[in-house]
Amino acid sequence: MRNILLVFLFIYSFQSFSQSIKGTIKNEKGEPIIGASIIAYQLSTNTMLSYSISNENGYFDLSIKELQDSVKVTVRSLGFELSEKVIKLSDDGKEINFQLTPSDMILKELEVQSKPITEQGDTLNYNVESFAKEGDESISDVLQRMPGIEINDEGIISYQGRTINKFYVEGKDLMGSQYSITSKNLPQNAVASVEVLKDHQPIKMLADVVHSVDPAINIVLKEGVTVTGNAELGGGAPYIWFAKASPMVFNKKHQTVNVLSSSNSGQDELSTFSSINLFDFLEFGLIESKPTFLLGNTPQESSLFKKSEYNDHQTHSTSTNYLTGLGKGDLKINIDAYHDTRFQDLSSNTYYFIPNDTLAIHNLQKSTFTNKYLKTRLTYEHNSDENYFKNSFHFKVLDSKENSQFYQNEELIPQTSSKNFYNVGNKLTKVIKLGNSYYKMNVYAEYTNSPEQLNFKGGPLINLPSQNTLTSIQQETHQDHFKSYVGTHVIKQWKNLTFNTKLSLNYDWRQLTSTLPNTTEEDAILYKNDLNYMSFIPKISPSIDYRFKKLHFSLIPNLSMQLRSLQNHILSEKSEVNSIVFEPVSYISYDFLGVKLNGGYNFNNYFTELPQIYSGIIISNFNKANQQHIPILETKEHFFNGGFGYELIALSLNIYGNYEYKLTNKDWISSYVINEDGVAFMETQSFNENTGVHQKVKGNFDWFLLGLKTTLEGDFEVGQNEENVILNDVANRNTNKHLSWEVSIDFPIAKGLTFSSYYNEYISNNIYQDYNQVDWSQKIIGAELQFSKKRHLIKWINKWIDHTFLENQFLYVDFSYQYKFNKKTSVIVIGQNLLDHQYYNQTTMNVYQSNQTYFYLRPRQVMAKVRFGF
Amino acid sequence: MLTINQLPNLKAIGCDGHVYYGQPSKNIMKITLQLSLFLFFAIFSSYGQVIEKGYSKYKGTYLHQFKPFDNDTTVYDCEYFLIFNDKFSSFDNKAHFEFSEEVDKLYSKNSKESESVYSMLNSKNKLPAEAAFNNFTITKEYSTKNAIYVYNLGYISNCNFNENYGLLEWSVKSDSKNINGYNCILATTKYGKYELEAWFTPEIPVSDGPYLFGGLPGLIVSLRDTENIHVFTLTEFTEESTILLKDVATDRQGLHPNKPNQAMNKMKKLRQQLISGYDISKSNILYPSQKLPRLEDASDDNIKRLMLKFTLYDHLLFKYSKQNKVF
Repeated sequence: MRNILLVFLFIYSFQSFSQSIKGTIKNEKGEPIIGASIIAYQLSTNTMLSYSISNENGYFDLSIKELQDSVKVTVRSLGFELSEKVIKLSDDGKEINFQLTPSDMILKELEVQSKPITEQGDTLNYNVESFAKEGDESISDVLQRMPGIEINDEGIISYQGRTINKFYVEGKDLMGSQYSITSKNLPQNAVASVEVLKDHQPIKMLADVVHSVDPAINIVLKEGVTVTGNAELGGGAPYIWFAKASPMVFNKKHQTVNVLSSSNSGQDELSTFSSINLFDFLEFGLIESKPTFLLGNTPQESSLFKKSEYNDHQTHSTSTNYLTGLGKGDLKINIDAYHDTRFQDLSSNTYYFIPNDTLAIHNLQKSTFTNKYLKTRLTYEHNSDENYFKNSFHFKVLDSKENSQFYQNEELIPQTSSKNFYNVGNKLTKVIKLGNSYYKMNVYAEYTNSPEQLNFKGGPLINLPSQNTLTSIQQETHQDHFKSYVGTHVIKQWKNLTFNTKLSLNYDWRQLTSTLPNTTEEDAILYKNDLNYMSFIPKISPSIDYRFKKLHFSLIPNLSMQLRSLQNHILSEKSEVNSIVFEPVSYISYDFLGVKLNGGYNFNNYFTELPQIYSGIIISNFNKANQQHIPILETKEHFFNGGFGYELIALSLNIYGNYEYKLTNKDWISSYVINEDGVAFMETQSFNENTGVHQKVKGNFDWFLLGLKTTLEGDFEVGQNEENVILNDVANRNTNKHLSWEVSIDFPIAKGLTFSSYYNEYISNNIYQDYNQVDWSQKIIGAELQFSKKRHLIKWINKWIDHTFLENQFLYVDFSYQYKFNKKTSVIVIGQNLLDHQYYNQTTMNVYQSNQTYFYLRPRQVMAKVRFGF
Repeated sequence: MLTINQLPNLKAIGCDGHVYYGQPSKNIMKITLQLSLFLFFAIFSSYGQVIEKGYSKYKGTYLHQFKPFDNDTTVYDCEYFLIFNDKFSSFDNKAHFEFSEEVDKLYSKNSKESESVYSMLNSKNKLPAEAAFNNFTITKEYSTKNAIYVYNLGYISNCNFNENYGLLEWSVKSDSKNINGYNCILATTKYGKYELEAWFTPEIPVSDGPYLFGGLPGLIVSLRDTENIHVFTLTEFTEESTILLKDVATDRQGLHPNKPNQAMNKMKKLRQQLISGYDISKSNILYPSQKLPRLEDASDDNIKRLMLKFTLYDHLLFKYSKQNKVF
């Protein structure tokens, strides 16, 4: 019996490793505290060993499983001060009592940081406040900083390298492809978040039927924001002014965006007006015709500086856009107009590549370019889950005039050109569902009329029409173009496959006439053109789209019958093409462990059209004449591309890369002949197997570190282009290689002080004619310092520029100071080009010339602007 | 449809109800649901005993993100208020909380017996939207660690049950992290077929948390199951002393509350009715054998919506069930 008891005691002694601390918790009055939390921590590591909650009698019981010498016991309860004691566990069995003193300390509020990016299904939601910084005015200033989102100089937004196919504000598309007017003028403090809709299908009826790979953006405004926008007024030295008003209204039924501006301070308000209507291209495969002018001079742009740093101009522009619900759909009116005058003074040295030599010609140019533009568009769209209908009517008028004076070889050559562009068109889209199939019909008709005129006196071409008795030359051209398109898509879905068969008919009629009046009959034939071009193309594209889990595959085999004919009434020549063309387009994408991989192959077959073909000589400038006496020629193009995209939303990290390879095979070639007077004569000739290669690798990296409020961005691009060109009767293979890379970092140094810096390098290798090699590189180091405190905001922007052909590197400095009276009113003083660099030297080159131009920059200017918010 | 004579002990409410119990027109059909809800509150608040539990001290807001449907990664969001004082707490669906506040205001404003129910409902203060789903309230008593779950649409499916959160066996880990300014410690437990992870903060010494959970020496700031089907996150925490805590469970005595298994079977039946095309939103607890009308809108979206709202469809972190395994 005693042995059994001993055994029990022995076993029991092993169990009693569990030590316990017991006691009561009382308040200052001696009353028990219920529900207090008692925690025992290990002394050395401060880890939790055990816990207990006091019961109705204030009694607690902590049992500690691990062998400890002493522990720290903390007692907490709402409304009382924290109480802590170090208890030695050897005092077993003794009761430990706590008496808590009241405290009126209030528990701190949760600091919830809204996640900068959240994901829901196919939509990424970017919280604007997380990304906005002091000094950001419009929403596009904040968009640039959001990982994955890029905005180019024209305001076109892309996500992971793909341009967006729609820009919505509160779910409505008011501006179409001219959304940059909204993104550049909508104040960022009116926006709550930016949604990126990946793989967006704009037609609701086709939402799960026709899969899209393009992203879209939706701006979500803050609660209660309906009227927004700004009005700005400013003036400065030397003789500059700036006035702009951009009232906007967004509500459930109506939306309106208006921008009126007038300025000569360099700020560019026109980039949005000339943007290509990419949306239509993605929907229709067609773009509205743009002017293809043959005559005259256009302003030279700089590759090193922003337009606001060199543009000498006077611009007045207005854009009015209004959207309202009408019946079951939306009615939109968009009216854009501008009157722009640009002044350009250039001094250049041109080195023409003549046979075995180079010819140097010095040239001074003083030009004024005046452009008047008006565009009106009226759209009605009904986009619902059961029905889709859209009709858009537009007309455009452009009046472009040039007035130049050239000074070359001690001769003053005045030149004027006048170009007009009239365009009217209508697009219609309708989607209906019959049974299990969807039918999408697109109809498009457009008419364009472009008369042009060029006049100049003197110059090296004056003797070209041999019996020209006058001292001036007048060249006229006239282009007429009628385009029409009818297409039907038959869309059928079966399990994970979508069959989208497109049947389309394209009818195109063009006419090109040109004359050189005041010349003799014989010469007239040489310089006259009267061409008609007609193309009739029925096309069938039965495409397959397969989407399953992480794989997306689409194949579009386009089969078309090309019936083209060119009639030359002057020479009584005819050229015809009757062929069947196969142009497949394929795309595959696979999501591998969160990395989106994609690849594709396209084949395109192009034919030359008017105005690429003309048998008579057209004099396009005082020193340029062209002739393209060719039949309808073919260009074959193979295009491969592959890429990957990776986004880690939790870290706000976005990486993507892309490789593309294009192989072109033309049966024609461009030929240039330069004579001793520096006249460039361009001709297009037939050529067998003219192959060209284009390759490009691109990578981009965006990382927003929320904790440090820092943005890190990097991107690089390596490319190579090769093509054959004939110069002075010698066929050459020209190669251009370029490498560009940029890293930028944006981080706060101290409270209110942020520093951002970028390093941008562009290296270019060009081989013309195998023995003529020109290499140049350009480096820009930027450093910006921004300081903000209460109502003040100071920005100091520096750019250090180094270019191979620049004599000295130089520093370009801008400075601005802003004072905010209240949330809506502020005044800003801007100083541009404070070190007053007058000009810089820009080198450009092409097949037949290398050109060094002295480019004037805008001189030092200071402007004060007042801004009122609506 | 109910007639005034069939409603039990309806002497407290005016008699003008007769007007719409005849041929219900389309407009009245719309109001009827709101009316039933209103009456439900009105009748039973005047007859059950409302035990007041004192004024609140703090209020926290929880965000519940959950995936109710199989093979569907769509995440639904729901917000709740955790309102507590020293002894009691109430975990209430936010939309339901706001709705019942408005009902209380209306009822106290129009307590004259001769006022017609119709005019009360049609008054200028429009009632806010009802909760689209997860319409329940959980009241906890700290001394006994007893939590009572009450489904607020009792007229559709009565479901109340008790659970004692003191029985949860928490295993406190040594992991700690800072969440929104509070230092939190990790604890795990098994709950029915779920494995749960909870981050609690000793800095808020309240042994409470979202849903039926508590018992840790600190407020649970974030809780989720290891498969991420349910995630609760504390998004706001402020002082709040104006809310009166009430015990709602005793109100429902008249409706014979079901035990969890009974409630589950009832839910199963409701879902089957819904999938067969009957409109369960017109179900009436007082007349369980009444034949339900057919669903007008039988689209996938509408069925999902009704499932979430009326059948307690997997939106519960139910000890007795787990998604994909119950029905």
